[in-house]
Amino acid sequence: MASIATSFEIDNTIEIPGRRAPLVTGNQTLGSVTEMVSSVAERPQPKIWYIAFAISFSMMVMFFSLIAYLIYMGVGIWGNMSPVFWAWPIVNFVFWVGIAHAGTLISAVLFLFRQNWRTSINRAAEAMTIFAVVCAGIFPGIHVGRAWLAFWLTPYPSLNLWMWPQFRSPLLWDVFAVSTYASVSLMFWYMGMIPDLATYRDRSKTKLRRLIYGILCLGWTGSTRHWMRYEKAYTILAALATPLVLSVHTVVSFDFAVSQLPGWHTTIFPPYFVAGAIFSGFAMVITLLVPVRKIYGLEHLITMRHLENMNKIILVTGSLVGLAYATEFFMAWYSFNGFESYTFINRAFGPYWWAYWIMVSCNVICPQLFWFKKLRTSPVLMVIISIFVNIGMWFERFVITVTSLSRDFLPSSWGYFRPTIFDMLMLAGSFGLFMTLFLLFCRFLPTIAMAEVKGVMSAHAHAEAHLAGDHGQHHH
Amino acid sequence: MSSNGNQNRVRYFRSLAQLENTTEFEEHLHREFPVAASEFPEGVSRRRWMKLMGASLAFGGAAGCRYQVEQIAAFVVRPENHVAGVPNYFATNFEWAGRVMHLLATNMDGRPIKLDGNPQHPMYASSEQKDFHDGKDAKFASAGTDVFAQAAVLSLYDPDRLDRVIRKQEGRSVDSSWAAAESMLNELRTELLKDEGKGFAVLFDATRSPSLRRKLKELSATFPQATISELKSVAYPNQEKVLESVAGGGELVHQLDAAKIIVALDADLLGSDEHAVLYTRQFGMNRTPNSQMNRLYCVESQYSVTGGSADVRLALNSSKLPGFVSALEAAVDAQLGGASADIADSDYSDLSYEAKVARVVQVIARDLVANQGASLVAVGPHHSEEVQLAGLRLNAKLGNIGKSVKVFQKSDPLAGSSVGLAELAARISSGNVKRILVLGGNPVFCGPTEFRLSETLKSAEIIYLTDYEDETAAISSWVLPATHPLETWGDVLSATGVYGVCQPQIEPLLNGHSALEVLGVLIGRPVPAMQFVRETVTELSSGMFTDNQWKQLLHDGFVTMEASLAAVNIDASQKLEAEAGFGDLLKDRKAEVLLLPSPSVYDGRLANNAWLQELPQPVTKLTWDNALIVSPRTAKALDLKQGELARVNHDAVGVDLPVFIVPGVADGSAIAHIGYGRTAAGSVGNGVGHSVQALRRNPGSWLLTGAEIRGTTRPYKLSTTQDHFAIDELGLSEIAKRAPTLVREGTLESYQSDPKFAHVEMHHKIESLWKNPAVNIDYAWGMTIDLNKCTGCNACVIACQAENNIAVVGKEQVARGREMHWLRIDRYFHCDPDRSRRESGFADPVDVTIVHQPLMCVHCENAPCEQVCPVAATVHTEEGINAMAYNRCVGTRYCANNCPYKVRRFNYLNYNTKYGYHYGWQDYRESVNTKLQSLVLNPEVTVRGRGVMEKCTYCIQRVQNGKIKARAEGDGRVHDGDIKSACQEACPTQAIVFGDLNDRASRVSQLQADPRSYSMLEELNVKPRTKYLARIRNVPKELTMNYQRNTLSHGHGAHGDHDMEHATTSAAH
Repeated sequence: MASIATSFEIDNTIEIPGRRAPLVTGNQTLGSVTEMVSSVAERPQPKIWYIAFAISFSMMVMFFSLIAYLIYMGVGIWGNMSPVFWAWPIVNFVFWVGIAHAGTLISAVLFLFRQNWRTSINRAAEAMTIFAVVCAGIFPGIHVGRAWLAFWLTPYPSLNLWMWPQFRSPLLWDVFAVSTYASVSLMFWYMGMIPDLATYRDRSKTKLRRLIYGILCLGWTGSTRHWMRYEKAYTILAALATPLVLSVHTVVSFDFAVSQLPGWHTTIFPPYFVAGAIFSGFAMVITLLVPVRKIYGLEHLITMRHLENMNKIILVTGSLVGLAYATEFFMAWYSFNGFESYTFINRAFGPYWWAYWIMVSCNVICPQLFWFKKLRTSPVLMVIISIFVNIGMWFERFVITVTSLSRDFLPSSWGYFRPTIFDMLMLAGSFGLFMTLFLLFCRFLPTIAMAEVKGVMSAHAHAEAHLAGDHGQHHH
Repeated sequence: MSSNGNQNRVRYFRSLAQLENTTEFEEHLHREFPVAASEFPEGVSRRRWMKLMGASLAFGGAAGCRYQVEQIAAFVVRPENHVAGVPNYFATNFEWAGRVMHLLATNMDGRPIKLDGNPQHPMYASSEQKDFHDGKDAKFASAGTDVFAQAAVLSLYDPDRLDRVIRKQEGRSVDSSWAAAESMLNELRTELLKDEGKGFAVLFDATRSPSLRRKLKELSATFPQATISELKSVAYPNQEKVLESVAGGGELVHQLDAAKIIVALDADLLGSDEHAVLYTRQFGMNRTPNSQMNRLYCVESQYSVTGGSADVRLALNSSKLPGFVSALEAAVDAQLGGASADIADSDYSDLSYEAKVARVVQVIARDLVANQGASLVAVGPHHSEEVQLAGLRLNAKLGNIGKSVKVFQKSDPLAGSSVGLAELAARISSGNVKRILVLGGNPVFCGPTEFRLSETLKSAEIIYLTDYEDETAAISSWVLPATHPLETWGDVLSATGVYGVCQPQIEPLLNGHSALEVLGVLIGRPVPAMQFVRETVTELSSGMFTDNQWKQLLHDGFVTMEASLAAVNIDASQKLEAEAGFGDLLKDRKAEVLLLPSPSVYDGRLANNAWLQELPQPVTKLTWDNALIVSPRTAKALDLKQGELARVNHDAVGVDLPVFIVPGVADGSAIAHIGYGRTAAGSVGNGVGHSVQALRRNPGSWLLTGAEIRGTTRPYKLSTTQDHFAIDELGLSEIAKRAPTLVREGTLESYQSDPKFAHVEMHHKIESLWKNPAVNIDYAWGMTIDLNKCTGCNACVIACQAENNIAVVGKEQVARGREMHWLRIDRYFHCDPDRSRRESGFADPVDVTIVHQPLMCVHCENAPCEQVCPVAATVHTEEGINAMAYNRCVGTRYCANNCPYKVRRFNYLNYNTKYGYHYGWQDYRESVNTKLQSLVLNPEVTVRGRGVMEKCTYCIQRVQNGKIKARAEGDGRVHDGDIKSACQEACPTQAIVFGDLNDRASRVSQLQADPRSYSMLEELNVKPRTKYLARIRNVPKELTMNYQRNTLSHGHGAHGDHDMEHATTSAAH
């Protein structure tokens, strides 16, 4: 029985050349990691969990009730209008798809690049991905005028019609991109969880838990053969998921880029959208993990170094996004296209100027604060900044979708979009759904990939011990 | 005979005499809904409706002389010559408020669903377009209508129409019956006969029906002591008086086609004028830019349809018009006397306002003098007698009378037997009239306030025949349901003296009877209406009218007769004494208010017509409201803000109106439409807009000078279909930049020097990603809209709505930009961009002119909507129509986003099952019973449910019918003119031409080959099938404004347009 780790803290954010900073701090043993992670699900949940769950769950119930009302009444309950035929629901969709980017990026791309620090955060990030995709998937489904026929977008052999969907439409590509992404991410997430679920099974004290975790872990025994196949499958899935990280938001951006609307019709969208998605995804991971780490006492596993690394990514992608904004303006001017240049001038100085400048200040200015180490290693500040980043990214989609539509070619058809209460409540409701799922995840599933953490721990534990100058406490 | 609840009673009847009634059950009925909820049994299916209507069709057939036997029979055996689902067409006439329409009704299985002009009618036939045919080929003939005629069918099926006799006793109103009403009328006759009708009066709504006037004459003969008075809600007594004095009464009718120079002085010839359809037609005849092209001057305070169509428009306060007319008369006199026009060489744009006015006077005078006998001066009928007289005098001096200006003799059987409203009011208040029969017209709401009709009438016992349980019904003792003009026999005599019959298209749906029938009972000679009409026509044709002639009359809808011209005696030596001052009205913060009949609801009688309420008014694009229309400068001077209420005080009367700012309205003038603010119009019209009736003191009070207007800060939400919000300066300057490239226009001069001026040369070759599949096509449908002929009159908008079952969405939804009109008329202001930017900003642009552009789906060959629809719900037909498969549409709305013309309409809510203000959780109103209303639907067109995208289909149902007809009856091929779209058919100027582009000889092909032809947003390479013909303004060079002179640069050279050319490169990819 491993002992609970000591509270030996070490600042692992300092880069000392030639020496790797430890990924896990606090003199962890394999046992203490198991203990720490499992206790999240095994111990009674803190009060804050119940409060958060009560709020999230009621918001989720409201969300589904509103969806029922929407399907009963029609999409006219939203503020969508002519010419802004797409508004908040699509903004929310793109927003949630963007959020969904960090998980797979962390688990797949960073895995392939052997970025071992990913192990402490990938599970939660992947979970977040799945839940964000759930939220994202709902919006286009209910956004169509006849939601009960939304399945017509899927290519199924229809005996009545003898027809396929229209393959030239980016919306159809979207269906493929998002559903592929959702299924691969889900599979990846679940597969990675199997060894940890087995740990949970083994530690279960009630029959029911044992049964459920037993089923979920698919009879994992931890044999070398299991491990070998697991590792192989994991690598293959990572390789499969990696292009999806890039493709899904690329395809989402095609919804806009392939149209001929000024402000939508630009070739910069795919990289710009992907950068923005990673940007918002990481911001959401920060927003969630900092409180989780604090509440469940996981500071030794999710260390400051993890958070700092993510903040650096936020800084990079935020700057990329800023560059994209500038490039759009440059192209609008350089292309000498009157419609295009008006669209961009109108974005910044037209009736939606407020949205544009919220976007710029949140997405471009805010993350620049992360140049300062003090700021990027302060949990409170980074949560605040990451929340601003997510507000900014929501507004980015709003600016792209709504302002471009509101003033296109014919001034006779210009309009000004105003959201209704339903728009607002449903955005809030989708957060309720997201948070409900995330809280349930914390409650019932391994929040941190224990097996993977352990895999990368030994070397660092060793190094850490050396650093501490104490060979005698070496655990191996 | 009420149809309440009882499903087994006889529904259709011939006359009052035939009526039997069970009063007991009538009177205990308390209806839950004031609408036709109980008229139609729940779940009345189309099949059941067919059965019911079979009866009426059989009868209607008798009416139309197709079937001689008058009996009620179901379609058990198919009546001869009737094929279910194939419409019949009946020529008929239509009259309301004294306005006459000559129509061809489309009758589908016994119910009229569409009204269009009767192209054979002499009123229209004389002004048939000569561009493409010699007048012999009837296929091309189309008469054109106005919005009122197009919307009339909706009123016919209005469930709010009164459907029962109501009797008021001791403050309680109970449902009564026609039998009771009949015995009341009989008793009344007996009583009245005792002292020759003393104490009795008849107040009837304005009418041009010879039969009704004859009937009233009969009444006057039966009861010599009775008072008879006509209620004209829209009356111009000054004009009448002048005509009386110079021509012994008569009808003033202009001949715009006979005039090369048309000068409209505060006269909305093409808009609110009674003869607007005729005038618009005549105007359109000479609008092809060649040497024949006419020139329209418009001097006015409001921005009217006429002003929008004018070649030269001068904004001038109505109160200063006398000065203008006097100056014009002086100039004409001088030039007739040999003086040459005093026109300096300076640039018109740079002149001060006074100098502009002076220049316009000189140029108009020069043009008038140069075109004596072929010019026309029309003066707004609301102006004073002196001004009216001056107008006629000008025409007389120019030799126009009898040529372009005609005064027709009027014969009125009632002449001498009727009194004016003032006299009637006096007799009521003095107690001389105790009982009054009101035949329509809603005097309580529409009546001028000076006579205090709404007050005085209360002291009399009123028997009221009405369509609706309206404001007058509230104070009446007996309220009798009237028939809709499409339900009854009647007749009309047009201003030019052409006689026409109104034949019923359907049996009275809601238990109504016509005024003829009611009067018949009252005077004890209940002749069936048809018989009475026939008596009238026999009398008019000097006693000889054979059965065959009668049949011919019913077939044609009219008999050719024309009133003779009246002799006009004008003293040419007289002069109009008026101060020619054109100073600033706003100096002492006083303004003039010009009241006008509403272009949508007229005097308020059409307030319950949802099509009209939702019709964007021609210039403001305002729906569901009236407003105080002022110029930006007036608003600034008087602290008025768009979207806020203003208080108008005039002579101790105050009304509140929301402010609406329109550039180009004369500074210091405020325009308000009457007919709004109804309190008892029905579920659609109640509480729509603000009433200005309080300002309508007497029939002639249209122009109120010295009004005090103050802004209140109370907000009021207006719903417009264009410029949904106050547009910022950035947007306005962009609109000013873009509008000339969208609606291309040039002066006649520029056109003559370069006919292809409207073409924008592309710098780059436009290439497409797609190759059009090679299909073996017979037809390639296309359309051309001639912006030079379009006046923006809106008739096409309602025609499209009626033809294609387009839903009404209500004010709130319009505010959200969700109106469903497939065809909209875009209105842009052209202005001097440089000076606007420099001087006043684009919110108050300099030298404004208006252009209209009807826009519906342009059926792109390379349609962007089709490429992005994930379910292939919008696809191309082989013939080039961009079609919608409603059943396949799931409503992603991507197509609408990708449509550069924004012509796609989405059913956000279930607009077709309910309409009104609110939907869903906000819907606290009783839902309108739509059973009856749905009868107006065209069975050829799918009714769209919610969640589905829709748009113009080029009237694909008409195309299909045309092809079927060509196969069945013709040589298998559709020829040019066989198929007309609904908008084309409704257009008075034939600005819209539809046809086959594969046929090189077709009108549409020829027009698309015209040098003026251009595609809007051509640079996107979507290849629209609808093309526009650039507008040409026939502006004399002395009055050409800077930006008009430089129009050519819109195509080439100017910086802004390079942007447009370059737009090609990125946007078309």
